[in-house]
Order: sequence, then structure tokens, then C-alpha cells
Amino acid sequence: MNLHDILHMGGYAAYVWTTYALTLLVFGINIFASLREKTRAKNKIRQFLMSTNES
Amino acid sequence: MLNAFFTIIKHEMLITLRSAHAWLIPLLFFGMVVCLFPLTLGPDTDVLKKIAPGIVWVAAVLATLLSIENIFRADAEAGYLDLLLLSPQPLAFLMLAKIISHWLVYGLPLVMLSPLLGMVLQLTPAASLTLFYSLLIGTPVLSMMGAIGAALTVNIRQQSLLLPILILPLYIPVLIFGTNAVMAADNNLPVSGDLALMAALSLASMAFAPLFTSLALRTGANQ
Amino acid sequence: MIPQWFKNYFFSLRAFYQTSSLLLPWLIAAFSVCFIYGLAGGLFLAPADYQQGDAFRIIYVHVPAALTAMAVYSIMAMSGLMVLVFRMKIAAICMTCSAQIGVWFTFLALVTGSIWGKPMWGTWWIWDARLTSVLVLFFLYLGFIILHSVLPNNSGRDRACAILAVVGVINLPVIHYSVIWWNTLHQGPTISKFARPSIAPAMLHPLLAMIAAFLLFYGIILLTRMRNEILLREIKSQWIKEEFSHELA
Repeated sequence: MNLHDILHMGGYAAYVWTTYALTLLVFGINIFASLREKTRAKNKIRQFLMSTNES
Repeated sequence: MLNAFFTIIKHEMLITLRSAHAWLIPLLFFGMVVCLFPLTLGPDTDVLKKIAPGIVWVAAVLATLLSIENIFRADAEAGYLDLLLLSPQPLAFLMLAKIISHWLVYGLPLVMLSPLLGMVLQLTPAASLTLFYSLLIGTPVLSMMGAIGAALTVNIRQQSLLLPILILPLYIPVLIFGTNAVMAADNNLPVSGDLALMAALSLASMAFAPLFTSLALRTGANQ
Repeated sequence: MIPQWFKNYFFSLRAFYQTSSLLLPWLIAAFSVCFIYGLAGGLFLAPADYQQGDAFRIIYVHVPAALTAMAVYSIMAMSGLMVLVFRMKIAAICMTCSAQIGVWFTFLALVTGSIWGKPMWGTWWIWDARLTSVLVLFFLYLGFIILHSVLPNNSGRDRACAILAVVGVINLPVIHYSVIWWNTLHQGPTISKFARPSIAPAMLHPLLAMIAAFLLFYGIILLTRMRNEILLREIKSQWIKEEFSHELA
């Protein structure tokens, strides 16, 4: 298949590429959200440990 | 144990029937919701005949959800629920009694009104009778599953539509079989299959729902 | 009743945290391989379907999403059962995190199914058995997540949500078959178009790879989220202190 076929997808380009883009978006959101929660959790631990070290 | 069973049923019914309007509210809601549809969709007989089973069943579901919301709330506040949790009888059995009495007071009137509503929606007498039977067999399932939801949400103070959100997906099989029975009756097809399936759902829910309800109540009390 | 190896490597929150850090790199590697092969095969290598043309390539994301959504719900419900029967904390964490991930896969399955429907049946939504079942699954997931967020954060929350998950999974086959039955009664002429033709190996292998990739992705995100939850739950414990004090120093 040449590049034109891949991009055009036999006329269904909008449908096919939208779905794959959506999939990557959902994957990305999940990765981003779980990593963000990880930094939040680690920050909480850091805060807690520092407060207990002070006392 | 059987003594406790019937005592609870009698006791619950006495309490709920004492406030005369409490059981009337879901019944009126049921009737009014059904009447809204001809008003919005037009009086065309063919259209009403087609949608009648769905409307009556959905209205019954909504009315049941209205009434089941508070099945445990008053008891929880009064401390009566804690007494039930401490009693030597198996809690599931007591819950079965409570749910049955709830259905007798709130569900049975809906069933009784349904043939009239069927006629109002231009169903044939045979189809109206099937509607009656389908609701008679199916509304206990609605009460049973609703009680599980009520037990899960018993400690949540704010009034929200959480219980319907949790329980509505579980009502889908009953809705499908119930409405299909009436539509089959309308087309002179046999209804025994649908009604039998609904009876199976009813019996299964009577066996399992009290167990889950009592488990949920114990969880709610033991936090 | 619980095997000893499970107890050593997964049961306690600390053991799970340590085991998962060993597993994650392998899962990520396996996911990358399966995903790249699945994408390449689905988009380029597999020949176009004779009936649906290139639009059939949506199958490579729709079917894995739907299957994963169902698999995740089963895992969620099994974890719920573990919570109720064995009172396992790790099972409660697995259940809650699985729900958060599963809802995304269900959403993806619904949207890709809908987009697939437009060129195939001409409408954005069709009430066929499969899409309706996925829709009900979506509502079950949402109900679980909402209940979890509304209930106060105490010991009762895990058990209450576990009850909801178990009740949901018991009802799921009943709902699924009643919807299939409902659909056969009200069937339109379009159902035959969506019937599964016999599938060629060149088309099948990327599909299997994508299914594996989706499941592995679920595993990766699940472990990550479970590790986060473990950190928050065990914040006061000694092993957290030891593990992180050298990080902070």
C-alpha cells in the first residue's frame, strides 16, 4: 500500500483515523492521569514525612 | 421464625398504612406519568397501542424507585434497624419480610391499576390482562433489586437520584420480558414463555436479593 | 485457602508494591510489541475487507476495547468477591482502580462502535445487541464509580462497592441475553451486514495482537494506579518511611 492509500483509507479516512486518534487519546489520558496521581501521592508522602520529622 | 416473618409483615403494613397518603403518592405518580404520554404523543389509537406496554412498565419502574428509596431510611434514623441487625433471626429472612410488605403496600396498587391504564392506552382486554399479569410477576423483582440499592445508599444523607442510577441497569431484563409479553398478547402470540422467564427472575431475586440487602445493611452499620 | 506464594508476592500492600515494580517493565515491553504489531497490521498489512472496504479497520480498536471492558468488569467483580469473602485490602484497591480504567474502555468501545456504524449502517447509533450491551455495561461502571465517590471514605465503602460489583456481574449475563433476545425480536434488516464473516489469518493476527495490547495496557495502568493507592493508604507505615526517606534526603 502506498502513502496515498494509507491516508485515504478508501474514502473512509475520517472514520478510521478518528477512531485510532481517539484510542491514542484515551491511552494518553490514562497514562497522564495515573502519572499525575503518582506525583501527587509522592508529594503527599514527602509532606507527611517532613512534618513528622519536624515534630 | 415464621412468627417473626409474619409479625414484621403485619407491623410494616400497619405503619405504612397509618399515614393514608404515603401509599397513594406512588400510585398517583404512576397514573399521572402514564397519562402524560397521550397528551404529548397524540390520541392516535395505533400509536398508543404500540407504546402502551413500554409506558406502563417504565412508569411502574419510576414509581417503584420513588417508594423504595425510603424503605430503610426511617428505620435507620429511629434505631429500629440496629435492633433488627441484633435480632437472633437471620437478617436475610427479616429483609424478605420487609421487602414483601413494602411490595404489598406500594407495588400491589400499581398492579391493580394497570388494567385500567391499559384500557386507557387503547390496549385490547387480552393485552391489558397480560399487562396485569406481567406487572404482578415483575414488580416484586423491582422491589427486591431496589431494596439492595436502598441498603447500599442508606447512610447517604442528601437526596439524590443515586439509587435509580445504580438499580436501573438491573431492571432491564424485567422490562424487556414484561413489555414483550404484552406485545405478544397484542399480536395473539403465546405469552407463557415471557411470563415464565419473569417468574424465574422473580423467584431468583427473592432468593438472592435479601441476602445482598442484609449484607449491605450490615456493612452500612459497621463502618 | 490462599496459596503461600500469592501471600508472599501479592497479598500484603507492601509485597504488591514491590512485586509490581518488578513486573511493570516487562508489561510495558510486551505492550509495546503487541501494540506496534497490531497497529501496523491493522492499518497497513491486513488487506481491505471486500464488503466494508477500509472502514473495517476500526475493528482493530473497537473489538479489543469492548472485550477489555468486559474483562475488566469481570476482574472488578472477582476482586469484589475477594473483598466480601476474604476481606482482602489489595482486592479492594484492585476493584476500585479497575473501575476507573474500565469505564474508559467502555467509552472507547461505544464511540468507536458508533463511528463504525456511520459508514456501515448510515446512522450514528443503532440498537443492536452488542452496542446496547456495552451501553448497559457503561451504566454499570458509572454507577459503581459514582457510589464510590459519594460514600464516605471508611471501611464500609469497599464492602458496599464490592456488593454492587458482585450484584452487577451476576445480572450481566441475564441483561446480555435478554438484550440479545430483545434484538432478535425487533430485528431490522441491517443485522446481517454486521454478521461476522470468516476471517483471514492476515486479518486475525493483528486483531489478536491488539486485544493482547489492550489487556496489557489495562494491566500497566492498573498496576500504576494500584501503586498510587497503596502509597496513599500506607502513608503512615514504617516501610513507606524507609523506602522514601532516602529519596527525600
